[in-house]
Amino acid sequence: MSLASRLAQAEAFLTERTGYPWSLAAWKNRKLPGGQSWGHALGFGLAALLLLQMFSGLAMTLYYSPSTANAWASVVYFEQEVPFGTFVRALHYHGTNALIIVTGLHLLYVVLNAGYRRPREAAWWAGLLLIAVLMAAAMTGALLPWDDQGYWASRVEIGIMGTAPVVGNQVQQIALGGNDLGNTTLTRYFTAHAIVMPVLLAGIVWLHVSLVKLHPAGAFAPQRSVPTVYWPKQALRDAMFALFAVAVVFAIAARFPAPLEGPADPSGGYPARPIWYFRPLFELRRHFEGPTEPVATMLLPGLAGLFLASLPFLDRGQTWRQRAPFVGPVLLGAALAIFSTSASLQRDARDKAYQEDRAESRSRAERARLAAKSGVPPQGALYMLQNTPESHGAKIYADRCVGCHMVGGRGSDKPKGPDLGGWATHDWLTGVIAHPEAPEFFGHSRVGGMDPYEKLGPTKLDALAAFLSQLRKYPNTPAEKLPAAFKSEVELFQTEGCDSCHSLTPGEASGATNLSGYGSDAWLIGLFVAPSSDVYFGSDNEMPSYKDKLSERDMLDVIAYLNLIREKPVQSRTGAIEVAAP
Amino acid sequence: MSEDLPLSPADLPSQDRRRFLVVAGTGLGACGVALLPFVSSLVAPVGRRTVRFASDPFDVGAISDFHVDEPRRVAIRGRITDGWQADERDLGAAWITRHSDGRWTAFSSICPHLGCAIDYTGKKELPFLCPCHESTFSLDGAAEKGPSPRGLDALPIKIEGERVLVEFHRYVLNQKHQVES
Repeated sequence: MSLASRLAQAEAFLTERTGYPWSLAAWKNRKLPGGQSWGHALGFGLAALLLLQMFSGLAMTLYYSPSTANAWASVVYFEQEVPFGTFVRALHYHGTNALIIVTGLHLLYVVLNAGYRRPREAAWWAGLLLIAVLMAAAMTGALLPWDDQGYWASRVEIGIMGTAPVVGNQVQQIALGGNDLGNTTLTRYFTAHAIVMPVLLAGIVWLHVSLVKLHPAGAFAPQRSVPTVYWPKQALRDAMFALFAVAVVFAIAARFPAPLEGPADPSGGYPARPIWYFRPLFELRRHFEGPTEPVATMLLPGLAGLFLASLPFLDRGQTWRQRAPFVGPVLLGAALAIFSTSASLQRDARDKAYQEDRAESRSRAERARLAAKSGVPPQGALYMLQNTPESHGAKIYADRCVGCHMVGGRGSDKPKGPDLGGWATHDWLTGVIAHPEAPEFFGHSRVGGMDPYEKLGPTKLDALAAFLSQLRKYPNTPAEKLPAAFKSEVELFQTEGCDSCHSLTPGEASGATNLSGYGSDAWLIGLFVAPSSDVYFGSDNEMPSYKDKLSERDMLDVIAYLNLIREKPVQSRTGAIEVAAP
Repeated sequence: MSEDLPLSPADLPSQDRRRFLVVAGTGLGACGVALLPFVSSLVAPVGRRTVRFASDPFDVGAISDFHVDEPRRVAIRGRITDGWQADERDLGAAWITRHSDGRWTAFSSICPHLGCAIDYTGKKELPFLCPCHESTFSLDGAAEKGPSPRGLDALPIKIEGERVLVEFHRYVLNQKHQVES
């Protein structure tokens, strides 16, 4: 039996049972009166990208947990523990970007070729509806990781929903699942994103494609080339473009993981920005203040949508001149969108304060991911992050230490002890050796008696400071047992007379603070327990003992916090007194 | 079947037509009623408070923790019920100012425009600034420039002995008048 007759048999088999006229020939010979073109391939490329989204999305739903306590942790788990997890999530993220860009190109192509003319209006409207559903899918998806970016962007979007006339409040509450963003919001958004949108997309795509195929050409069909049929020229272009689009997404996803900020903190100060494809609206809104804001967020976009929908009736001309008043605004709109997105991104790039905030958010996200490796407690990732040793230490510091110690020039207005910003670093030590009586060191303290050693000169000061800043690595180690590399510094320490008051022998009191293991955990705990001991600050000391007030765990947490601010002194850029909690 | 069914209600004699409409109407009505539980899942939240927290005053510190004419941001930590979950976490934050004339003011750090966290710039002219859309507010919370429809939300604050107490409330965003949410 020949291939052709086998095929005919198979087609007849399917047709008889399904009622649908299966025919490979009909598919191959679909007429294209305008000839083949790459522009036609854009739609097929979109279908391929949608399929990519469905697969990558499905893979993620195998691991995702839609509750405020678990969502972020489940996404991080997927990325860190599941093979190709980061790649799959990146595919989904960059796939969205690709979908939006190709949709834009597809729309422009259709407008330029007036592909919506009679009798194809319905296909065009189905296409516009698809854009709306795509935007809704993008918006709902962004909230699902419950990270700072998704949370705050959704907060703004839901806030905008509330400004809709008449039904604004009700729509907002239905979207929120109540009175505020929380568990019920996340479950609704998940339902919308993973169930409702895919069904809608599949249905409307099927409708759109059926309608397009029903009318191979509209009343205005620019002749691209000789009229042809689908196979092989257009089929080849479709396949190649789809492959190209998917390959580009794969390539970008392999190199750039999807962004993930730290767990959403409802009380936090995250520098919120909309995702790039909403930036044009973000920019537009800047020109409308207060009560006129709905003009930018609803009226103008609504009018733009209406204009696009009406194009089949408005754009009836045959020459470019006749078409210009309708095609022109579309091209202008596209250009404005691109330009305003770029301008908005550039403005943010130049905004120092914003960049600092973003850097802080990124480091917070890193800390959270690291902590999540050992598992997230049932209260969730935010709880985990807020109860790390550093953040617990920050709270203890704010309760107990801020009254007497400044950090980086900020803090107590009646300081009694040294400024702890950069404490025990090379620079701090250089300063305290040169001028211990300075107000940022022991100037306010009753503890005194050390001469300023500025006279030693920069070289010797530098050597001593460098040496002392390393001592925290050698607790309980007498000077003789220190590494040979420090031999010359130890000698300097002795020849300049430092050791006449400061001993380097563990536990020895010789008139001033013992510097053995200076800055180590053991040294600090000893200080917290007995600051008035002769091994520390002696009888002139004003710092209270924390022996009965803090557990050893508490002390270690404070030390963790002190280590944190040693590298980066806390200095709220807004000038407010604030002890930063991670 | 030997008899052809009538093509439309208009073909039926009037009594049968009435009966058809009654049956069809009841059928559709029954379908609508059957759908109600599902629709109710969607719209039940309207008017419901799914996110709740205590409005008892929170202790935010000692009087001496606040320096005169220097707003300080204090995180408010308390018990919250979010849908089916009970938790204790930061509910939000308040900007608390101890004024030189002895007054105390507390403002919610949630921008009344679209909910971003308010910053303090340290400048005397326009001290409070929202980094999202650049709404600015005076030290007394009044809205100056920017898209915010109202000023900062004042929170009830009182002094008990040496302690400062603040009640935390959340308000509906982007409204001219303050409405508790």
